[in-house]
Order: sequence, then structure tokens, then C-alpha cells
Amino acid sequence: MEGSDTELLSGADDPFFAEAMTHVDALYRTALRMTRNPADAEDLVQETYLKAHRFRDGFAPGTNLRAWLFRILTNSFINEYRKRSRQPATMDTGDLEDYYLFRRVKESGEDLGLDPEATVMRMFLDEEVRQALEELPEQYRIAVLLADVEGFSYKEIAEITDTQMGTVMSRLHRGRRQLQQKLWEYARSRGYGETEVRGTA
Amino acid sequence: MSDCNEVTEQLYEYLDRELSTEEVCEVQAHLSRCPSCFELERFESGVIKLVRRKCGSERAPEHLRERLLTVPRS
Repeated sequence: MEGSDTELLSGADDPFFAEAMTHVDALYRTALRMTRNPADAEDLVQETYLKAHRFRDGFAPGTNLRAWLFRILTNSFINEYRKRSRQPATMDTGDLEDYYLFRRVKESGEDLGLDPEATVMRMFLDEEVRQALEELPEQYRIAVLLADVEGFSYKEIAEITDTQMGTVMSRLHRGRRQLQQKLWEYARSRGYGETEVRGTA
Repeated sequence: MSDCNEVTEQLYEYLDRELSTEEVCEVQAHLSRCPSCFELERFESGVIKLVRRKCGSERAPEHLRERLLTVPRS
């Protein structure tokens, strides 16, 4: 039967493939936020595994397979998908201030309560956060995805994106600032912070 | 001794666990005696966790896993 074909072997007899497959959810959700559509995300992940097999001899056992796979994913996205996109890779954030969302919430007079961490986590819907992230310029989006969603260190992100630590930090800060600006727009459109305004009018 | 400006400049590095042990102690010492920086720190920690929670739980579809089993290996 065809099961003897090397192309159809299950992961069990291939430790490299088995380990690579433990990262498929993380690679897929990152690809989804990068490409912003499921079909392209699936193609990008498949391309990543194809390249991982092709280049597996270049991977040193015992080193960070997860970061290596993310590097292949990111490179494939930038080299193959960016060409199709008309969106700028980065965008001038103008004079957007740091901690944008926090400042606006404080100005609005809303109370963050005794547990500001829990309060802000309840403020937004899944779709709002995903959309805010997907609207970020590509380089900022990648930095935020790798740091905030996947928990990579600045050094790992520098290696994955082939750039300097300083650039990673700058993209991450700008990305977070723009993300917070978009989140604030969503909150405002739902009427957040208007109670105080009405009360003083 | 750090003041509010130093802490707000280093806050993301603090939350991202990119500071040295010594720097972490300084930030924590300031946070323990400055309610407004502490409130900001808790809020920013919440925004990062919000992003992780809303965007970090999606799983690869089963048909993709099956497709990956047929990727040529060499």
C-alpha cells in the first residue's frame, strides 16, 4: 500500500517532523495574522514545513527549533506575500504618545478599579483585538505578534526577522502604540468614556 | 533610585523581561511606592495579556495537519 511511500510516513518515525509539528498551531495563528486570510495562511504554513524539510540539514539539533521555524515563516511571508500587498511595511506614527490607551482612559474619567490588568482585559472583544492587530503595518505587526502573542525575546525576534535589537524594540513600541490607538477607537465607538462627558455637559 | 520618567521609559523592557536583575529590583522598588506608575504597569501588563489571549488560542485546522503529512521530506 501507499503507506510505504516516504512522502506519506507519519511523524512518529521522524523525530524532526514530530517536533516541528508541535509548533503548527503557533505557526498557523501567526500566519493568519500576517496574511489575514485562512487560505493564504495555510499555504504559508505548508511552505514553511516544505522549506524546513529541505533545509533540515542546516538545523543544529538542540538549538531553538521553534525560533528557526518562525524565521522560515517570516522570511517566506516577507519575500513572497509582501509583493502582493500594497500596504507599507512601516508607517510614521507621528506624535502618538506612549501608553496611548492608558492616557485616554484616564482622561475619560473612567475608573480602572483595584485591578487595572483585569479591567483592560475585559474591555475588548476578540474581534476588536484581532482586527486592531491586523491593521498594523507589516513590520510592526510582526514584532507585536512575535513578542506579545508568541512570547519571543527581543534577541530571538532580532534573529527571526534578521534585524538589530534596537530595531526590534522600536518596531515593537510603535506597533503597541498604534495598536492601542486602534483599540481606543473601538472603545470610543462603543460609547466608552462618554458617561463622564455627559455628566459635565 | 528610579523616578517616574525612568520607569515609564523602561516599562516595556520590564514587562518583556528584558531587564537585568538589578534593574528589575529598581523598577519594583519604585512601583511599590508610586501608585500612578503601579497603575500604569498593571494596565500595560493587561494590554499585553489581552493581545496574547485574544490572538494566541487559535489552532491549525485538521485538514492542514493532514496536508503537512504529505509534504515531501528529504
